Order: sequence, then structure tokens, then C-alpha cells
Amino acid sequence: MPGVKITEEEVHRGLRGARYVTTSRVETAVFLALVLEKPLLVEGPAGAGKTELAKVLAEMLGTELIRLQCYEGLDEARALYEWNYQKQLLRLQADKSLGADASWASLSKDIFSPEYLLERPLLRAITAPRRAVLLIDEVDKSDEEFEAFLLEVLSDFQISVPELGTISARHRPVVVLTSNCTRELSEALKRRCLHLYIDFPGAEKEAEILALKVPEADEALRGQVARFVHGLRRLDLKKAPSIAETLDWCRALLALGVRGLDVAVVRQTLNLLLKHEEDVRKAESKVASVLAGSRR
Amino acid sequence: MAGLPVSLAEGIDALRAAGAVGVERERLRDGLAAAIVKDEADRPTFDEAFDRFFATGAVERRKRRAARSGDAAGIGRRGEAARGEGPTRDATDEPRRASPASREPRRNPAVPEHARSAALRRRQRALLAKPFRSLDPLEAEELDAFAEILARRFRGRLRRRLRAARRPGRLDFRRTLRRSVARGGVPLDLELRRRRPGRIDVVALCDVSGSVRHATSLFVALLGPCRDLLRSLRIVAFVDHAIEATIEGGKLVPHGPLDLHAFSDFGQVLEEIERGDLAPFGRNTLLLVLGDARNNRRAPRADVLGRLRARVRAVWWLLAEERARWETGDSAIAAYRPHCDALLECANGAGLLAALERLGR
Repeated sequence: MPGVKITEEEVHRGLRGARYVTTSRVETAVFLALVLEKPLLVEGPAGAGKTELAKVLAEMLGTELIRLQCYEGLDEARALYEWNYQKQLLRLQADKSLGADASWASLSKDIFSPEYLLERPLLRAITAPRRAVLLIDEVDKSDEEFEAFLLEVLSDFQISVPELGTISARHRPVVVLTSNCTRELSEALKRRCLHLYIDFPGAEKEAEILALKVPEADEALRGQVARFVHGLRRLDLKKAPSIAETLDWCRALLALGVRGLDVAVVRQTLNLLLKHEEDVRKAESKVASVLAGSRR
Repeated sequence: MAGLPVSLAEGIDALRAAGAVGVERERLRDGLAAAIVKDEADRPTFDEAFDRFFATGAVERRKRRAARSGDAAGIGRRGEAARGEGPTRDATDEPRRASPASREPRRNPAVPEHARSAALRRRQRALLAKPFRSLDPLEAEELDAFAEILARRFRGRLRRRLRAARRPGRLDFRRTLRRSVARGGVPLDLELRRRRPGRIDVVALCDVSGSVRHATSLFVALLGPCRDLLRSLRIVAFVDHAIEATIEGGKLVPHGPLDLHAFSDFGQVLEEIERGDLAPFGRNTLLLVLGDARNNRRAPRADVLGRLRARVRAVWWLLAEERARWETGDSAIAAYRPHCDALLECANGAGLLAALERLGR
């Protein structure tokens, strides 16, 4: 039954090794997804590291990451496969001009062979020579019809191409789905997945992330930055700053030669953290109090 | 289990998860949660239940912590009751306890904003499932507030549907051949036929009398923003006679006086419409009638509807009543039925939404 022999300890070390700071909750969920061979549905606010988790997972397993970005109107031809019509046609033309007289049977077998198949992410994940990580990003953006179709693929990991027959997965890919909850996913999809909710990390965890990704900054600045961003997220903002934005901000502060945070510096650089004019204005009036709160 | 919906498959997953993570307490908690909890709003309920089943000293600690952080007092109270139930139970008990019990949205300050919106969504779903008839004023207000979001989503869906219908269809042989001339007769680029469904003219007759007012206000809120997706949208409001109306800011605004407390008179209204020039009728017109067809024992004049039917593409009657009540009492729907292309049950928000979705087909 178990898909891979892996221990929780290994997951912990693997994620660490791939420079992903996380909680035991995430580790347990990832471990289970690997062992039970179940898709992992990751939800949470934008910028909390959902997509990153899949990337890190691929790095940890030392395998390929295949990404399917969902959007409104995504259809099977974009997600699964398409016949390379132009190439088939060229082949027919070439056959004709070279004077090869092949029978229809052999010809149709030829031009409907994998060589003329354009593999899209789902088919690629299934036919991958080794176990791949399939990231289905922002599944909530896709249409409901597509979600239903996805269910079918995720339950059997096989795809039928009428001209070729059924293709089953040589290795079941590790599937990670992410969702920002712009719409509710169907119960059926949720039922088939393990569920993980990733929230923004606490101030300490974020300082740890900073230490990993921006080691040039000294510890005091990292702590200050993490605590300030943490305080900022508590304000009622349209869009809370993501982890990536925190990192950018910290790098920017370094580039500006800032050693410690003060009101003037924060005000000047606030647009690196907040991208809505409304948010910036709201936060500007509160910089002093948030900063004071983060000193403690 | 404490009102969480856990399917059989999830129960099995939970067992396998327990087998994989072992019995270390917090790992077991996270493992079971990953398999069972599919909505972050349910996590506190799960934690509560987990502590109840696997009661140890840790419960006391959690309880104290919860009390300190101002967490809902309910957890503590239930935790106490649980202590009487005895210590550890087997994990295998859990799946069997799954029951689709009633689920009330909880307002828990410890739940993150994002998860609270999940509870809100559930509340909205419940609101849509409730018959218009039994909405109390507070719920009606809630539905009104929700209608705006709903309308935006509906509009998006309708637009996508209409656009999807225009997605390339079958091969357009003539155009493909014409293009292939440039490539020495090799049809490298396929031209596909584009289906263009003619946009429809919608004429909506809305009963605005007291009995169906919730249905009407939701109908109007949903249809209003979709105006540009239709070729035209004419609204006629009526109680005992018909008045042309428009939708402004999601609300129905009749262009004349209308006695809201009069008795509905469909027969009279149909006659007025046939006679007057309130609405243009043509082969591209879809006539929607929203009402309960309760005619207060007046003449239904179904023959008029029959004549109107002959002038339009289709007549849909959106009946704001549960199917069980159709053709009871003073309902005249039996007379109108033969002249309707579709008779759609719109007793609650979900029904009305489903009926309007048909516009996209």
C-alpha cells in the first residue's frame, strides 16, 4: 500500500534541507500525502507559501515539478493533450512527395502515435519516467466543469486517448493542489484530498525564514522586520504582505544601508510591502504604533 | 463526530493516516485533521472532539490556555463533560461516529478571518436553501446583502457560459480551404466554425406583491447586472396591473404608481400586456414570468398567455412556490401550464439561481 518509504523525520529534514521553514502540521500533512499517495489540497491566504511548498517538495524528492496553472476557461486540450495537427499534416505531405505508398492502416497507426501527441501537464505527469510532483495551482480559478474532469484524473491516474488507448501512470505523481478560496471547491474534490491550511507564519518563524533567505541581514534587523510585518498583517488590509514581499523588503532595507527600523524609513519603503494605495495610506498613519508594538 | 461531515472514504483515510503517523499525540492530531477536516472553519470543532476522545492531562492545559486567550468558553465546558466519559478511546471509533448532524456556523474569535468566511459561505448556502416564504425579516435582509455578491458571481458564470458557447465548434471547410491556398493547398491552419448564439431579448414580468417580494428582489438583483449580456432587458412590474420598470442599483423601480397591497390579478395583467406596448415581442424574445400564479380566484385568462406564447421564442414561468403547493388553493398554474415552455420551481434562492442559469444554455 504505501507509496514511498519515507519517515516523518526524513520529511522534516528534507523540507529543512530545501530551505523551507514550516510547522509540524505541514510536515505531517506532507508526510501523509507521500505515504498514502493522496493529493494534497493546500489552502490559505495568497503569499503564505502554498506554491512554494510544491516546489520545495519536488526539490526534496529530487524530481521534476510539473505545473498546471488554472484559469477561467482552462479546458482539457490545454490540461491534457492535443494532437499536433500541423506535424501530422507535414508527415502526410512528406509521404506523398517521397512517393511512399503506405497502407491506410499503417499510416493511421503512424500519425496517431505518441510522437504526434502534444503532452500537456496532466498527461506529462502521468507518463513521466519517474515520480513527478504535479502542482495544480489555483484550482479555484478553474471552471466547475474542469474540476469535475480533474476528479476523474485524480482518482485513477489514467487517461484514455481514443486513438491510443488508455494510458495509466507508470508512477503515481505526487499531487499538490492550491486554492485561494475565491470560490468553494466541490465536496467531491475535497473528499479525495488531504487538506492542509497554511497561514502566515508567526513572527519567530518569519525571522527564521529571513535568516535562511537573507543571511546578510543581521539578527536584530531580521527580528524587527519580522515583527513589524507580523503587526502589519493584523491591520485590516485589503492584501496582507506576503512572505516574498517581506523578503524583498528586507533586501531593500539592506541595499539602503538601514541598520534598524524607524518611522521615517518604514514610511519611505512601505510601498514594497503594500501594493494598494488604500492600504498604504491606512498603514502610514499606524506605522508608529505598529513599530512600537514590534519593539517589545 | 461533533457534527463534522465525514464520509466513509475520509474515515478510511483517517485510519490509514493514524497507521502512518503513529500514536504521538500532536502528530496524530495533525494527521487525522489532514484526512478529516476539509474546511479550516471546522478545525476548532475537530480539536475539541479530538481532545474529548483522547482526553489526557493535556486537555486541562489546553483548556487553561484557551480560557486565557479568551477562547470560546464552550470548549472548556464541553471538555469537562468529556472527562466523565473516561480516558483514551480507540481511533477506530471515529469514522463510525460520522453523522451529518446539523451544522450551525460558529463565531469563534480564534478562527482566522479567512476561515470565518468559510463559515459565512455555509451560512449563505443555508440561506439560499431556505424557502422564501419562511424567511424572517432579518434573514431577508441578510439575503439582500448577499445578493450583490451572488449577482456578481452569477454574472461571471453567465458570461462565461455565453462565451463558451461561442468557442470554436466544427470545422469550417470553406474558410479552411481558402486559407490553405496560401500554403500550396496544405490546410495547415484549421478554421473552426464559430457558433454565435443570437443574444436574446428578455421581457420579465415580476409580481411585486407581498407574497413573492423576496423572490422578486433577488431575481432583480441577479438579473440587473446581466443587462449587457442580453440584447435587451425589459422589466414589467405588476400586482393587479402592469407598470414598466427598470432596475437601478439592484432594486426595482416602477415608472408609475403601483398598489403593493392589492390582490394579484394575472389575467388583467396579461391582457394589459397583450394590448399595450409595454414590451416588444418577437421571435428572439424570452418571456419570463415571476410569480406564484395565485390569482385570487379571478379569471386566469390563460388564452391570452397562449396568444403571447405564439409571438415569442419561449415562455418560462418561474414559480415562487414549492412544488407541493402547486395547483392548490387559488393557484391558476394548471391553466397557464400548457402555454409555458418551462415551469421552474423557484421556492428558494437556490431554485431561482438554477432557473436563471438556464439563460446560459
